[in-house]
Amino acid sequence: MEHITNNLGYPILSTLIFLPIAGAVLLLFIRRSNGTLIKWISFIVSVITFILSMPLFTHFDKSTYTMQFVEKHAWIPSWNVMYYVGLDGISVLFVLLSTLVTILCVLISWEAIREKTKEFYISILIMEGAMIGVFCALDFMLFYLFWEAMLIPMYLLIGVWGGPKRIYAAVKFFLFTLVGSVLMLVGIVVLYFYAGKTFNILELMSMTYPYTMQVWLFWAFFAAFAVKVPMFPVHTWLPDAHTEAPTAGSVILAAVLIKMGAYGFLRFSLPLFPEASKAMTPAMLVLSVVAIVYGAVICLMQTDLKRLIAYSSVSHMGFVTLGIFTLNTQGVEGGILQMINHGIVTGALFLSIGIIYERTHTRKIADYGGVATVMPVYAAAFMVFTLASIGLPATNGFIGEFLIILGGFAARQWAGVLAATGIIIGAGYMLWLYQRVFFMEVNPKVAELSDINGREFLALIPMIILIFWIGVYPTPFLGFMHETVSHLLERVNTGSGMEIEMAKQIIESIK
Amino acid sequence: MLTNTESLKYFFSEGFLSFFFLFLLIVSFLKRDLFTNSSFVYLLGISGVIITLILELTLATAGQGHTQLLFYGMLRNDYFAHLFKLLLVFSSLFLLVFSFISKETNRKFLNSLEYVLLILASTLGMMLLASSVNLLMMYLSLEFLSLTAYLLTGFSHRDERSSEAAIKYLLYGAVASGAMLYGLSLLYGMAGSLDYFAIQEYFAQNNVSGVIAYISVILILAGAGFKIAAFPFHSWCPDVYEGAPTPFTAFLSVGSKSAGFALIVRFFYQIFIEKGGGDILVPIGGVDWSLLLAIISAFTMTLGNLAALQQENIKRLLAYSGIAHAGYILMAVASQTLFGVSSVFLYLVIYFLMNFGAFLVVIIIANEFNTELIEDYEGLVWKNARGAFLASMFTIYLLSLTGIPPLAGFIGKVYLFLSVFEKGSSLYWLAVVAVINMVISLYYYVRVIKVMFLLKGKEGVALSAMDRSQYIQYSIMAGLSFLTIIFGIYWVPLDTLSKLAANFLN
Repeated sequence: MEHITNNLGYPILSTLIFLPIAGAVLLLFIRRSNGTLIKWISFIVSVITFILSMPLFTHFDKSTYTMQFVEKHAWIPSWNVMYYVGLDGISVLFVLLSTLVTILCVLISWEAIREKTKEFYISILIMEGAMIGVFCALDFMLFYLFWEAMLIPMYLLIGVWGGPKRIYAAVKFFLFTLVGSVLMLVGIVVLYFYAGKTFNILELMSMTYPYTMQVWLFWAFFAAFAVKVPMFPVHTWLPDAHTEAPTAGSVILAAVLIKMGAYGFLRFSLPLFPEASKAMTPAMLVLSVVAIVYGAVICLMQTDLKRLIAYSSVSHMGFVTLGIFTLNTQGVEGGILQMINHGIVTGALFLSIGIIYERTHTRKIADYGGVATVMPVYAAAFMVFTLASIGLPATNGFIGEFLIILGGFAARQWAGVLAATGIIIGAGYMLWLYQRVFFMEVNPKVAELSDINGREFLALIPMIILIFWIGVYPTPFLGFMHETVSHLLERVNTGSGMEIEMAKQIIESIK
Repeated sequence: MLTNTESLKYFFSEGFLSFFFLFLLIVSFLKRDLFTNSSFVYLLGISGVIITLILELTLATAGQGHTQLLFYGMLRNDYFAHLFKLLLVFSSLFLLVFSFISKETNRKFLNSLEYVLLILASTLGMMLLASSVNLLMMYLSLEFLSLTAYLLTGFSHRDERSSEAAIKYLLYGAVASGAMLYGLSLLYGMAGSLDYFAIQEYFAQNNVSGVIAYISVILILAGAGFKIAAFPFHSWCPDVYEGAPTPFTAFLSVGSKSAGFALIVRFFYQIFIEKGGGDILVPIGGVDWSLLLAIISAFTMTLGNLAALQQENIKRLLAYSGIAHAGYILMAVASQTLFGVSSVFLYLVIYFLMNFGAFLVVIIIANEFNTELIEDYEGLVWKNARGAFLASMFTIYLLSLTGIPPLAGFIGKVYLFLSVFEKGSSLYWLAVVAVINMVISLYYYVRVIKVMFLLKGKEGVALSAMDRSQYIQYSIMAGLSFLTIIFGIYWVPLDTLSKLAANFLN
């Protein structure tokens, strides 16, 4: 069932993966003292990567579920490992999100990172290459390589440039993620042997696995993805990592990194283990709903800006996993769209917090108040992000959450109801946060602040555009995923052919 | 089977090494003052080893895979032997170069010639060990290697730790080799021959009582396990690693361990295995040595990793990590498959790269700060360009030891896992134990990285700047880490070589 096309005629995905890495290598050879040049090079590299990724948006064939922009080369013949990359409707938007977010990260770190700038931008660019690689890889070996390659730069981003408790946060992040990944590795090896020694993901997806094996492997992969998402109860690394990471690190974490868990469920768990996924749906829905409500309630008691947004991520990612495991079109499409939305909105919130943190060097909510009077433009932008995070109609958050709750009701009524309460609590903590920071009397600590400058505005404006674009006219974005999602759900809901096999055997035995 | 004189033709690399050794020894008796300049002595030793390497390489490539039994079946020259010999001679070469670099060995010794001669002798011992297919020959080469190793461990005369380590090593070694000898005699008593193939034939044709075979195998494992520092024969390892001169510690952890694995693989796969049709290997001899090795492997890696968690001294940490790695490699030995044998070789090559690299960093830091404590590595990366270089290299080696892609150590670990799965469901539990161990090991490797990267440097401890005259050490380090990365991305050459190594069973 291999349908492969590359209608561009040149290896666009390899270019996108390796251009940032090449940029990082180039930075290695530049003098540490030449900070401005380092910044400009990383900015230009990330912009070029973004421009080069545009054909993915314009040339993507929305009428098919097959892999596109495919490149396939032999790599390690004796193991049957290939360099095999391609995109479909699930992954294409994430690549675009990664390339966009990297530019914003470079912009927002312009003044904030004063020490060890060279190493910082090297880490960011390597991250970008690895992130794009994860979304493109169609060979398990290649996938695992990129998946793990993200760990080290992220560890350094948190551990070197982070806040006061950065070392604890970095080590916790590393350990949690690695435990999950290693279990997934064992799962990959088991698949490799069962399927007759192939790492080809498309080939593996076309096979039928025995039910017990599916269940075991489902949980092995779950370990890796649930940590990344992060799902309740393995979410505890996220608040620490988010809070301590520098702004750029938080943005990458929020916008792209934690999407990889949900992406993994969609790309691997569902099509590889359809029967097991179906059977595990109740457990997954319960975990998702717990994450939604628990995350939201915890948000109400936070006193730290970044920590609050971090817990709201737990809640929002609960929506995403809920959508995915409703196993119906609205839910899954809503889940994917909500991933993009959450990437944009939470990314934007972290960018905004980074902007004000750079001025005040405090993340305590109590240290703020009346910021709207001092920084009106900033307050307006933050308002947009807050409303999008709550899911107000005409913003992108509304479309995603609406689809998910629709799917939730269709799958299990209680899931839909409980998820909806999450939105209500969400409105509560976000508006309360906004009120405490931006309204009320002006706190003397923020009285002298200057409004955002051009560079910062430039970093925020793409997010605002996207919020309204998706909110008002989501069809172009949903159009990317229709075919792929319906193909995926067909596989999950009709099963991998296990019943058909069994029926055949029964008929045989009757004969 | 070749006679003694015919064999010499295929023995010239070892022959040259013995001749070179004796020649240096005799000249040193006659003209003592010729060897007062230690750098000259090291260069002499290095050139001798390089010539041995070249000779071995010509022998290995000229043979075209011809397998010869030398000296009436004492030694067997096959690809396995050649490849292991090359690996072992390389590790001797690195030992000499490191000793040349390290202040610990290059300045303090009164008589560098003795040191170099002992290294040459132990190289010879290892080469013989890799190719011996006779119980007696195997035991003699093992003893040859061990005796030189005891001497080299205690070579720093004035250093109490070094002497203590040597005595400990000697005592443990004596007990282990005594036990092994007893095991060998039991085996001889059963099969009536010292020759591996004769014993194999005996086991293939007769049903043997399990108990005596078990006792014999366990006793022999005591000797072999001592060499590779496997549980429960590992307790010498941390003390000896800490006390011995650092270059020699690196050698012990790579060279002598590889030789031990060559012994174990040959012993089990040529005596207790019968070749079935195709690539199927059938265990014989009534001993479930796969399970035995699997249990040892699980204990070894768990113990090594848990003990490493609390080490403050980098050499002790690497010692325990070495114990853990011996446990990992034993997984592949226990798999009883051809793929397992090639994985052993492949992992040893990768281990060679990353462990020698790590020890080179330790040596250079010791040259500079005169310390082996992890806390003194604080903030190394931010000190200056040299610190940044050293710390990044060290990070690559440590992450590779952990098994993080895209580094070679990850590929090695995948090979080991694959060989366990190749064996079938009976060893799945071992793969799970290994996975848990990988995560434990991450903690202590990353702790070192954390100290180097995330903590602020200590006040007042300056690192001297990059010195162009030290290009040898920098290029070795860069080369090792380059290979570590390259083999993590493209490991076909290693794969081909390791497949050759498993050829000896045909």
